[in-house]
Amino acid sequence: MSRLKGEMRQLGGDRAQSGDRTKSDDKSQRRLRSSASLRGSWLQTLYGMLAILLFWYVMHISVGSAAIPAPHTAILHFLRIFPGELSKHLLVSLGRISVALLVSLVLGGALGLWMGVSERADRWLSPVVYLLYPLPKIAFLPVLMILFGLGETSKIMLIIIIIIFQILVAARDGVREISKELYYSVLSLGIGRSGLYRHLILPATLPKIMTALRICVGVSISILFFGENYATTYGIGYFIMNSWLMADYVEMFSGILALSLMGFLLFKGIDLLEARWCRWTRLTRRLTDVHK
Amino acid sequence: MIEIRDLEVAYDQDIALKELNLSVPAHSTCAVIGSSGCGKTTLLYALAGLVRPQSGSIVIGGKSVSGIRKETGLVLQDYGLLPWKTVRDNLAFPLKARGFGAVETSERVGAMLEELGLESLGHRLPGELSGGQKQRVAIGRTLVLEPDVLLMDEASSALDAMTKELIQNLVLRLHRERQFTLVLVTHNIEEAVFLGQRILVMADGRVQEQIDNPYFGEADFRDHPSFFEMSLKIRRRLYEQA
Ligand SMILES: Nc1ncnc2c1ncn2[C@@H]1O[C@H](COP(=O)(O)OP(=O)(O)OP(=O)(O)O)[C@@H](O)[C@H]1O
Ligand SMILES: [Mg+2]
Repeated sequence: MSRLKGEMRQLGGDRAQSGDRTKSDDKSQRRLRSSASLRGSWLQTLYGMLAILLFWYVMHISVGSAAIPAPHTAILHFLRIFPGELSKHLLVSLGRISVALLVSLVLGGALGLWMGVSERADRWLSPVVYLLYPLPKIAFLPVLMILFGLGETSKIMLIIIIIIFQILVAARDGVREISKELYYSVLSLGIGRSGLYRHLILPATLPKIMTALRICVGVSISILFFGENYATTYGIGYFIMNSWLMADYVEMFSGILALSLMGFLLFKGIDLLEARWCRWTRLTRRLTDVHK
Repeated sequence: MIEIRDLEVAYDQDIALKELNLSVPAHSTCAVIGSSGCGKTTLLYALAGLVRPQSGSIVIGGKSVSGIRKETGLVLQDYGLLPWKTVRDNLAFPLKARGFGAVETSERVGAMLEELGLESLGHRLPGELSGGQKQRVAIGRTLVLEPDVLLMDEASSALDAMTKELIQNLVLRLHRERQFTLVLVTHNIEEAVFLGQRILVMADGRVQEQIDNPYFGEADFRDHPSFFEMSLKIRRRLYEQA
């Protein structure tokens, strides 16, 4: 018995190396690391804002046109109108994008996972997806207007039919990238089909889906701008175009600031979810850190 | 316990196993050795019910194998741990998915971690472990399910010489304590001799020879002349096949 203990101690040899590091040690270290990186990320944000402001100032001075107002003028105006009118436009836009992202995520994700898992589904759906994916779907806007009317549905549908492919393909490829050995190992545990989805397939594809989602946020903001230029008097796209038509450039830039704020918040939101759900990917990323 | 008759397994047109016959008594161990590509992993997949044979039959514990058998454990070469789950969760999720309550799951997992000397690593992710530690977690994950058959593929081939022997000692001890039927695939002659009560030499998808290992399980077996004798014998047979 004492020999067995010895064997165990030897087996845990690599543990001895790190001393008797306890669970709480490890946890507090991790917390320290994550709070440091949090501070780092805010500094990075600040840096990004300063860099853009500087560029904006340079453009403002060198171009010397009313079309590029001074940053401080625009920011002050933004702060003045944001609590009232602007925030309403922003919320409407945010609502449209959120619904589109959510629907695409659920539908595209489910379809993509199915195609990844079932060879038959892939065989029948992939050709269709590949033919539809590269089509300039904006051109179908008139059709969408006829099918779904001029209201919210056609605007949201326009975003969905463009971004859903991104998520679908990401999910499908994510499933395909699961190694056969990992798949077999988990399958052999006898956890059933739902267990397989919950514990293996979904978490394995999540990082890819999150990356796709991030791209989709950028794309859907651009499409939204398009969709908010017909049959609506709400939304940040409408606000910007309207200010442009009235040649109120300070107002227009306030709208652009609001739009970038929305994009920023969406990106940060996705970052947060990713940090929470995909923490394990951070162990392998950052190859350049190795030599530090 | 395990009875294989005239097994044939093919991947599309490639025949990986043919006319394979094998019988492994309950609670015994069987080491499968052979050159790369001779079908060792395929044999384990077939035993685990993961690939469907073209013909022939596999019977385990009196029942024909068709699909996943809950009492069979499988440990593959790359450990098959879920990188997004901590060590503790990697052990716990199969239990929970099989309907064990939270209390029993946590008790079983705790006991297993302790048995394998992994208590202090429970909260780590697999990416934060050494190869030997991952191997122990993978073994623990199948053993908490209390299998009566354990299948291992290249259990220690990625480990250094020292860790390799420690893992082999561990497997031998666990086999003594738990009495599962062990089928172990290996490239390593010493491992086959140390862990195989019977040693199967495979080539070209067939079992070429079955060698009984009367010295299996002797105290300090590795230090005995009989260990070298056995190793030499297996080495010669392997060269004859090649
Ligand atoms: N998915 C597959 N598709 C087609 N052929 C395969 C597949 N997997 C294995 N094979 C073939 O089946 C044969 C047996 O493969 P197997 O993996 O069982 O060999 P092995 O003895 O485990 O080899 P190694 O020692 O290198 O792991 C090989 O000739 C291999 O090329
Ligand atoms: Mg193999």
